Amino acid sequence: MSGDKNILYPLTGILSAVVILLSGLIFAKNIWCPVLLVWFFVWLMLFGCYRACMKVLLPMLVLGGIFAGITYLASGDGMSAMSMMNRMAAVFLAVVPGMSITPVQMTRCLSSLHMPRAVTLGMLIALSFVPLLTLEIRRVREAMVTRGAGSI
Amino acid sequence: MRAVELQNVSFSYDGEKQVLNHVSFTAEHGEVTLLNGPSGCGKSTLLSILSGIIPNITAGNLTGQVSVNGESTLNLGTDEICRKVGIVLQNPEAQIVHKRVEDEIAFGLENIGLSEEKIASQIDTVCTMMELDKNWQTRTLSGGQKQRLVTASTLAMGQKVLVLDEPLANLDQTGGRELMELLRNLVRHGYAVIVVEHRADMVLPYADSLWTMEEGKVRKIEDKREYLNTNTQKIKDTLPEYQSQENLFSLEHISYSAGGREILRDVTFSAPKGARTVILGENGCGKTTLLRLIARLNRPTGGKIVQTLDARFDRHFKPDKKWFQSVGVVYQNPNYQLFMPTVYQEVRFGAVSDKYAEEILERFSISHLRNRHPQSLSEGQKRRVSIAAIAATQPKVLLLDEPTVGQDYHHGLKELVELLNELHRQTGCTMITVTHDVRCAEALCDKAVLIEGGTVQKQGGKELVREYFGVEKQAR
Repeated sequence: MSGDKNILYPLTGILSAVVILLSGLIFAKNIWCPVLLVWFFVWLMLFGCYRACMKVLLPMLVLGGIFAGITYLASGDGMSAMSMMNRMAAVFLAVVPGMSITPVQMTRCLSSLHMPRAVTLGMLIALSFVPLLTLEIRRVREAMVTRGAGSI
Repeated sequence: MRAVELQNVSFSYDGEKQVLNHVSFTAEHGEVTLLNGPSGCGKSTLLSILSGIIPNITAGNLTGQVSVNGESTLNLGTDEICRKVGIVLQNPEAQIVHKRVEDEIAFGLENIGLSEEKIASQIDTVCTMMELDKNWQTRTLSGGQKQRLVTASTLAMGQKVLVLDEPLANLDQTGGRELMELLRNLVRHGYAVIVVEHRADMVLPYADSLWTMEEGKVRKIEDKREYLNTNTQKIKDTLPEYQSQENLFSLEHISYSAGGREILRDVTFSAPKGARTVILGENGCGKTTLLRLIARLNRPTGGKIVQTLDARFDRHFKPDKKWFQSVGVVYQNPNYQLFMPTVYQEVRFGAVSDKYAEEILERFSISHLRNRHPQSLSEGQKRRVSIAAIAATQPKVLLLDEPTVGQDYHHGLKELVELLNELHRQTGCTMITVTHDVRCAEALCDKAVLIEGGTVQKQGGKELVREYFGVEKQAR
């Protein structure tokens, strides 16, 4: 429909998110899991979710590191720390396809699959809410600054 | 069978103040009906009742009969009413839901269940009609373009009764004329169009019936010509000739792009100190953007703006509290700038003193609104309050973006123009106004700048204003 940066068909996106999440959680204790996750990361970047991948990278490493650190200190076991890191990374990576799909595409895709109107409309509104809210907040704050109330 | 009929309708939001008092109003198919009246008299309330927003979304005490195409709408839900009556609201920002123009227009059509091909062809038709591009980002549209978008979205849905609340507010003369011609065309095909507008001068030539509203009562006017004459004379400028001084703002080769679109290409002009400069130009040419660049709300992507206001402002670009105390900015959409719980507090917020705040309240004739919540006022009243609140800070520079929109001729427009000129005379502030209101552009002008094609086409004084609007009139 629209020539956006990503050409990810919504269903593929949802499916890949589920696959990433499940494999991350199931294979968390496996020593090869980080390799699998890096592979997923590269795969997602190649398929056009470059921006979203970059956005999650920092929070993923920071939060994953914190939780893994806590697990290590609490249990003294390197393996559990690593599996915690794997799980956190899996969760963050699973979010990436979702971030690349605009609410409109998601809604249209689900509508064409005959999902009930209540679900699709609700999702459209919910997904648009945060960006809309941040936009309004930004506008109101800027307007308040022009009145001399605080800094931008 | 009448298109719209209101019989003995009374309405009150809070049970105390009667906004509509036993109102009877009709509109016929194949006619353009104009509803005129001062700000805050209840026009938008009447339209809300027509479109079903009252009582389904907004609560209040509603009595009387409301029918569309002979069928009563009092018991219908908004989803049924919206298939019969299309409404274009006064504040376009409140009606836009999506990020892209194409998606926005498609939204309504998807909701009523048209097929994909039909939706695509409707979008193309309507975009051509209203001169919009499908791929534009709604965030970066100008005020007038947003209004065109909202009108387009409603037109695409194809209801037989169309209600428009101040559709010409943000449109320039050409845009306004084109819209009115479009509405006339629709009416010839059997539509019923109801327009609420202050700009009687622009709508009356295209209107079939004229109703005026005052203090909650509505009546039909038979003699349209006489009404036109008393409501459209150009306002005269009462200030003495401007004595030129040095330039306050000098813009040198300013360019600005946003959202992939180049809005301003190469703008070079200067605003003299203590003068009233007017920026003219058609819809979407970048007037608001230019004003925002001068106000330092956006950074130009090329060129620079030299200011002689105070050397301290040259140290860094980012505007701070001190900057906005000297430079008062009045937005095109007053809703964003009003944030205090009462009108009095709004004006008092940045005012130089209590006494001055009181003085401003009196002068702007909003003293009787002092305890009301700003967001509960009509759009025209909100605009007045926002200008009053900025004026109360006694800025050295006043940047006004379309200050006269939504002001009716007698009570609103004339008073406001006199006030602004009076303010200018008393405080000697520099005023830069963006306007396309032919009735008052001359009265607010010492110097005029015409923006076209992203650059300054012409500069001059009052004669440029006359020429600009005169040419537009001739093109009819």
